[in-house]
Amino acid sequence: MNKYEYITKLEKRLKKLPPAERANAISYYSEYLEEAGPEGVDAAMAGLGSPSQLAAAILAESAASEMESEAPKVRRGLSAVWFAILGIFALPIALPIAIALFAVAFSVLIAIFSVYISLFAAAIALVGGGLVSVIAGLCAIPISLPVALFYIGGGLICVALGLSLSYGIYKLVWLTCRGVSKIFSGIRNRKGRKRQTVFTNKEANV
Amino acid sequence: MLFQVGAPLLDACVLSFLKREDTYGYVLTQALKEKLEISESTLYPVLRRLQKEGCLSTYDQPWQGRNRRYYSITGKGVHYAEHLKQAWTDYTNRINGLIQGGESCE
Repeated sequence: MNKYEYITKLEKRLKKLPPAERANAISYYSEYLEEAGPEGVDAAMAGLGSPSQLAAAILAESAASEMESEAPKVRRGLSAVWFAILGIFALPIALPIAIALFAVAFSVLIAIFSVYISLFAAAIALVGGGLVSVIAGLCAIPISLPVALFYIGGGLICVALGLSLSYGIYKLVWLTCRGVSKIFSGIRNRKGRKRQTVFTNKEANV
Repeated sequence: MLFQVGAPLLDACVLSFLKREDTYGYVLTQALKEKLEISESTLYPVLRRLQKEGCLSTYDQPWQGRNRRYYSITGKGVHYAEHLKQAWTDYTNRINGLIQGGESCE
Protein backbone atom coordinates (compact mmCIF):
# COMPACT_ATOMS: atom_id res chain seq x y z
CA MET A 1 0.00 0.00 0.00
CA ASN A 2 1.41 3.40 -0.93
CA LYS A 3 0.68 6.60 0.97
CA TYR A 4 -2.07 7.71 -1.42
CA GLU A 5 -3.94 4.46 -0.97
CA TYR A 6 -3.43 4.78 2.77
CA ILE A 7 -4.87 8.31 2.85
CA THR A 8 -7.79 7.38 0.59
CA LYS A 9 -8.68 4.47 2.86
CA LEU A 10 -8.36 6.67 5.92
CA GLU A 11 -10.66 9.27 4.36
CA LYS A 12 -13.28 6.59 3.67
CA ARG A 13 -13.16 5.40 7.27
CA LEU A 14 -13.57 8.96 8.59
CA LYS A 15 -16.88 9.64 6.81
CA LYS A 16 -18.71 9.98 10.14
CA LEU A 17 -16.58 12.94 11.17
CA PRO A 18 -17.82 16.50 10.47
CA PRO A 19 -16.28 17.71 7.18
CA ALA A 20 -13.95 20.25 8.80
CA GLU A 21 -12.58 17.70 11.27
CA ARG A 22 -12.11 15.15 8.53
CA ALA A 23 -10.28 17.60 6.30
CA ASN A 24 -8.00 18.56 9.18
CA ALA A 25 -7.11 14.96 10.03
CA ILE A 26 -6.52 14.09 6.39
CA SER A 27 -4.27 17.08 5.80
CA TYR A 28 -2.32 16.33 9.00
CA TYR A 29 -1.66 12.71 8.11
CA SER A 30 -0.91 13.34 4.44
CA GLU A 31 1.63 15.95 5.51
CA TYR A 32 2.99 13.46 8.03
CA LEU A 33 3.54 10.75 5.41
CA GLU A 34 5.05 13.30 3.00
CA GLU A 35 7.50 14.40 5.69
CA ALA A 36 8.52 10.83 6.41
CA GLY A 37 10.08 10.80 2.92
CA PRO A 38 10.39 7.91 0.50
CA GLU A 39 12.62 5.87 2.83
CA GLY A 40 10.64 6.48 6.02
CA VAL A 41 7.08 6.29 4.70
CA ASP A 42 6.66 2.54 5.23
CA ALA A 43 7.89 2.78 8.81
CA ALA A 44 5.59 5.73 9.39
CA MET A 45 2.58 3.85 8.02
CA ALA A 46 3.48 0.86 10.16
CA GLY A 47 3.73 3.16 13.17
CA LEU A 48 0.33 4.68 12.47
CA GLY A 49 -1.31 1.27 12.18
CA SER A 50 -3.78 0.29 9.50
CA PRO A 51 -6.10 3.00 8.14
CA SER A 52 -9.03 1.50 10.05
CA GLN A 53 -7.06 1.43 13.31
CA LEU A 54 -6.00 5.02 12.86
CA ALA A 55 -9.54 6.07 11.90
CA ALA A 56 -10.94 4.32 14.96
CA ALA A 57 -8.48 6.18 17.20
CA ILE A 58 -9.37 9.54 15.62
CA LEU A 59 -13.11 8.84 15.88
CA ALA A 60 -12.81 7.75 19.51
CA GLU A 61 -10.87 10.89 20.38
CA SER A 62 -13.37 13.17 18.63
CA ALA A 63 -16.28 11.39 20.38
CA ALA A 64 -14.59 12.01 23.74
CA SER A 65 -14.11 15.71 23.03
CA GLU A 66 -17.73 15.94 21.80
CA MET A 67 -18.86 14.56 25.15
CA GLU A 68 -16.90 17.21 27.02
CA SER A 69 -18.66 19.99 25.14
CA GLU A 70 -22.12 18.49 25.54
CA ALA A 71 -23.58 21.18 27.82
CA PRO A 72 -23.70 24.04 25.28
CA LYS A 73 -24.97 21.63 22.65
CA VAL A 74 -28.11 20.90 24.67
CA ARG A 75 -28.81 24.59 25.03
CA ARG A 76 -28.41 25.06 21.31
CA GLY A 77 -30.84 22.19 20.69
CA LEU A 78 -33.34 23.77 23.08
CA SER A 79 -33.17 27.14 21.37
CA ALA A 80 -33.76 25.37 18.07
CA VAL A 81 -36.94 23.90 19.55
CA TRP A 82 -38.07 27.34 20.70
CA PHE A 83 -37.43 28.73 17.25
CA ALA A 84 -39.47 25.93 15.72
CA ILE A 85 -42.40 26.63 18.08
CA LEU A 86 -42.14 30.34 17.39
CA GLY A 87 -42.10 29.61 13.68
CA ILE A 88 -45.24 27.48 13.91
CA PHE A 89 -47.11 30.17 15.85
CA ALA A 90 -45.90 32.87 13.47
CA LEU A 91 -46.98 30.90 10.41
CA PRO A 92 -50.58 32.25 10.20
CA ILE A 93 -49.21 35.80 10.22
CA ALA A 94 -45.96 35.26 8.37
CA LEU A 95 -47.46 33.33 5.45
CA PRO A 96 -50.00 36.03 4.42
CA ILE A 97 -47.33 38.69 4.85
CA ALA A 98 -44.99 36.73 2.62
CA ILE A 99 -47.72 36.28 0.02
CA ALA A 100 -48.58 40.01 0.18
CA LEU A 101 -44.91 40.99 -0.20
CA PHE A 102 -44.57 38.67 -3.15
CA ALA A 103 -47.75 40.10 -4.74
CA VAL A 104 -46.52 43.67 -4.24
CA ALA A 105 -43.16 42.84 -5.80
CA PHE A 106 -44.91 41.12 -8.69
CA SER A 107 -47.26 44.06 -9.32
CA VAL A 108 -44.38 46.54 -9.19
CA LEU A 109 -42.62 44.45 -11.83
CA ILE A 110 -45.74 44.38 -13.99
CA ALA A 111 -46.14 48.16 -13.65
CA ILE A 112 -42.54 48.71 -14.70
CA PHE A 113 -42.94 46.44 -17.68
CA SER A 114 -46.19 48.07 -18.78
CA VAL A 115 -44.43 51.43 -18.79
CA TYR A 116 -41.77 49.87 -20.98
CA ILE A 117 -44.40 48.39 -23.30
CA SER A 118 -46.15 51.75 -23.68
CA LEU A 119 -42.82 53.43 -24.44
CA PHE A 120 -42.11 50.72 -26.99
CA ALA A 121 -45.54 51.32 -28.57
CA ALA A 122 -44.68 55.03 -28.79
CA ALA A 123 -41.39 54.13 -30.48
CA ILE A 124 -43.19 51.92 -33.02
CA ALA A 125 -45.71 54.70 -33.68
CA LEU A 126 -42.87 57.19 -34.25
CA VAL A 127 -41.12 54.87 -36.70
CA GLY A 128 -44.35 54.02 -38.50
CA GLY A 129 -45.54 57.62 -38.66
CA GLY A 130 -42.10 58.74 -39.84
CA LEU A 131 -42.08 56.13 -42.63
CA VAL A 132 -45.56 57.20 -43.76
CA SER A 133 -44.45 60.81 -43.70
CA VAL A 134 -41.36 59.97 -45.78
CA ILE A 135 -43.52 58.11 -48.33
CA ALA A 136 -45.97 61.03 -48.46
CA GLY A 137 -43.05 63.40 -49.01
CA LEU A 138 -41.70 61.24 -51.86
CA CYS A 139 -45.15 61.31 -53.45
CA ALA A 140 -45.28 65.10 -53.04
CA ILE A 141 -42.01 65.73 -54.95
CA PRO A 142 -43.78 66.38 -58.33
CA ILE A 143 -46.28 68.77 -56.65
CA SER A 144 -44.05 70.95 -54.46
CA LEU A 145 -40.38 70.36 -53.59
CA PRO A 146 -40.37 72.37 -50.26
CA VAL A 147 -43.43 70.49 -48.98
CA ALA A 148 -41.90 67.20 -50.07
CA LEU A 149 -38.61 68.01 -48.31
CA PHE A 150 -40.50 69.04 -45.15
CA TYR A 151 -42.37 65.73 -45.07
CA ILE A 152 -39.30 63.64 -45.83
CA GLY A 153 -37.15 65.47 -43.26
CA GLY A 154 -39.81 65.36 -40.58
CA GLY A 155 -40.41 61.67 -41.30
CA LEU A 156 -36.69 60.82 -41.04
CA ILE A 157 -36.43 62.68 -37.74
CA CYS A 158 -39.41 60.67 -36.41
CA VAL A 159 -37.84 57.37 -37.54
CA ALA A 160 -34.53 58.27 -35.88
CA LEU A 161 -36.26 59.23 -32.65
CA GLY A 162 -38.30 56.02 -32.67
CA LEU A 163 -35.25 53.83 -33.29
CA SER A 164 -33.18 55.46 -30.56
CA LEU A 165 -36.12 55.24 -28.16
CA SER A 166 -36.53 51.52 -28.84
CA TYR A 167 -32.80 50.99 -28.29
CA GLY A 168 -33.10 52.83 -24.94
CA ILE A 169 -36.05 50.64 -23.97
CA TYR A 170 -34.12 47.52 -24.92
CA LYS A 171 -31.29 48.60 -22.60
CA LEU A 172 -33.73 49.39 -19.78
CA VAL A 173 -35.48 46.01 -20.09
CA TRP A 174 -32.16 44.23 -20.06
CA LEU A 175 -30.99 46.09 -16.95
CA THR A 176 -34.30 45.41 -15.17
CA CYS A 177 -34.17 41.70 -15.96
CA ARG A 178 -30.60 41.47 -14.72
CA GLY A 179 -31.45 43.34 -11.52
CA VAL A 180 -34.45 41.13 -10.81
CA SER A 181 -32.49 37.93 -11.42
CA LYS A 182 -29.68 39.24 -9.18
CA ILE A 183 -32.13 39.96 -6.35
CA PHE A 184 -33.68 36.52 -6.68
CA SER A 185 -30.36 34.70 -6.80
CA GLY A 186 -29.27 36.73 -3.75
CA ILE A 187 -32.32 35.53 -1.81
CA ARG A 188 -31.75 31.98 -2.94
CA ASN A 189 -28.07 32.04 -1.98
CA ARG A 190 -28.87 33.33 1.47
CA LYS A 191 -31.43 30.59 1.98
CA GLY A 192 -28.97 28.01 0.71
CA ARG A 193 -26.29 29.19 3.10
CA LYS A 194 -28.71 29.03 6.02
CA ARG A 195 -29.71 25.53 5.12
CA GLN A 196 -26.08 24.52 4.91
CA THR A 197 -25.23 25.85 8.36
CA VAL A 198 -28.20 24.01 9.83
CA PHE A 199 -26.96 20.90 8.12
CA THR A 200 -23.44 21.17 9.52
CA ASN A 201 -24.80 21.84 13.00
CA LYS A 202 -26.84 18.69 12.73
CA GLU A 203 -23.84 16.75 11.59
CA ALA A 204 -21.77 18.09 14.45
CA ASN A 205 -24.46 16.90 16.85
CA VAL A 206 -24.35 13.35 15.51
CA MET B 1 7.63 2.41 29.41
CA LEU B 2 7.03 1.74 33.04
CA PHE B 3 4.99 4.87 33.73
CA GLN B 4 1.95 6.03 31.83
CA VAL B 5 2.02 9.34 30.01
CA GLY B 6 -1.44 10.86 30.37
CA ALA B 7 -3.03 13.73 28.49
CA PRO B 8 -1.83 16.52 30.85
CA LEU B 9 1.75 15.30 30.65
CA LEU B 10 1.58 15.12 26.86
CA ASP B 11 0.15 18.64 26.84
CA ALA B 12 3.05 19.80 28.99
CA CYS B 13 5.62 18.15 26.70
CA VAL B 14 4.08 19.53 23.50
CA LEU B 15 3.65 23.05 24.87
CA SER B 16 7.15 23.16 26.33
CA PHE B 17 8.63 22.03 23.04
CA LEU B 18 6.66 24.64 21.11
CA LYS B 19 7.73 27.32 23.58
CA ARG B 20 11.23 26.97 22.15
CA GLU B 21 10.23 27.08 18.46
CA ASP B 22 7.32 26.66 16.08
CA THR B 23 7.36 23.36 14.29
CA TYR B 24 5.23 20.94 12.30
CA GLY B 25 3.64 17.62 13.20
CA TYR B 26 6.31 15.27 11.91
CA VAL B 27 9.22 16.93 13.66
CA LEU B 28 7.26 17.23 16.89
CA THR B 29 6.33 13.55 16.81
CA GLN B 30 9.90 12.45 16.12
CA ALA B 31 11.28 14.69 18.84
CA LEU B 32 8.85 13.41 21.48
CA LYS B 33 9.26 9.84 20.29
CA GLU B 34 12.94 10.05 21.14
CA LYS B 35 12.14 10.77 24.77
CA LEU B 36 8.78 9.11 25.37
CA GLU B 37 7.36 5.88 24.07
CA ILE B 38 4.52 7.34 22.10
CA SER B 39 3.13 6.06 18.81
CA GLU B 40 3.00 8.02 15.57
CA SER B 41 -0.70 8.66 16.03
CA THR B 42 -0.55 10.00 19.58
CA LEU B 43 0.01 13.65 18.86
CA TYR B 44 -2.69 14.48 16.33
CA PRO B 45 -5.56 14.44 18.87
CA VAL B 46 -3.41 16.31 21.39
CA LEU B 47 -2.54 19.04 18.89
CA ARG B 48 -6.12 19.27 17.67
CA ARG B 49 -7.47 19.60 21.21
CA LEU B 50 -4.89 22.20 22.25
CA GLN B 51 -5.65 24.11 19.08
CA LYS B 52 -9.38 24.06 19.79
CA GLU B 53 -8.80 25.23 23.34
CA GLY B 54 -6.83 28.18 21.99
CA CYS B 55 -3.48 27.08 23.43
CA LEU B 56 -2.00 26.64 19.95
CA SER B 57 -2.39 28.44 16.66
CA THR B 58 -1.35 27.13 13.25
CA TYR B 59 -0.04 28.62 10.06
CA ASP B 60 0.86 27.05 6.74
CA GLN B 61 4.21 27.54 5.10
CA PRO B 62 4.84 26.36 1.54
CA TRP B 63 7.64 23.85 1.22
CA GLN B 64 8.54 21.95 -1.96
CA GLY B 65 5.19 22.51 -3.60
CA ARG B 66 3.03 21.66 -0.59
CA ASN B 67 2.25 23.12 2.79
CA ARG B 68 3.77 22.46 6.14
CA ARG B 69 1.40 23.27 8.98
CA TYR B 70 3.37 24.89 11.74
CA TYR B 71 2.09 24.94 15.29
CA SER B 72 2.87 27.87 17.50
CA ILE B 73 2.05 28.44 21.15
CA THR B 74 -0.37 31.22 22.13
CA GLY B 75 -0.43 33.37 25.25
CA LYS B 76 -3.07 31.10 26.71
CA GLY B 77 -0.86 28.13 25.87
CA VAL B 78 2.11 29.67 27.70
CA HIS B 79 -0.12 30.24 30.71
CA TYR B 80 -1.38 26.67 30.64
CA ALA B 81 2.15 25.33 30.22
CA GLU B 82 3.27 27.29 33.30
CA HIS B 83 0.37 25.83 35.26
CA LEU B 84 1.25 22.29 34.12
CA LYS B 85 4.92 22.76 34.92
CA GLN B 86 4.05 23.94 38.42
CA ALA B 87 1.74 20.98 38.96
CA TRP B 88 4.33 18.55 37.64
CA THR B 89 7.05 19.95 39.89
CA ASP B 90 4.79 19.66 42.93
CA TYR B 91 3.86 16.13 41.97
CA THR B 92 7.39 14.90 41.35
CA ASN B 93 8.57 16.55 44.58
CA ARG B 94 5.95 14.66 46.55
CA ILE B 95 6.71 11.38 44.78
CA ASN B 96 10.44 11.91 45.23
CA GLY B 97 9.84 12.64 48.88
CA LEU B 98 7.96 9.38 49.27
CA ILE B 99 10.41 7.27 47.33
CA GLN B 100 13.53 8.73 48.86
CA GLY B 101 11.86 8.76 52.28
CA GLY B 102 11.19 5.06 51.81
CA GLU B 103 14.78 4.43 50.84
CA SER B 104 16.12 6.27 53.87
CA CYS B 105 14.00 4.05 56.16
CA GLU B 106 15.68 0.95 54.87
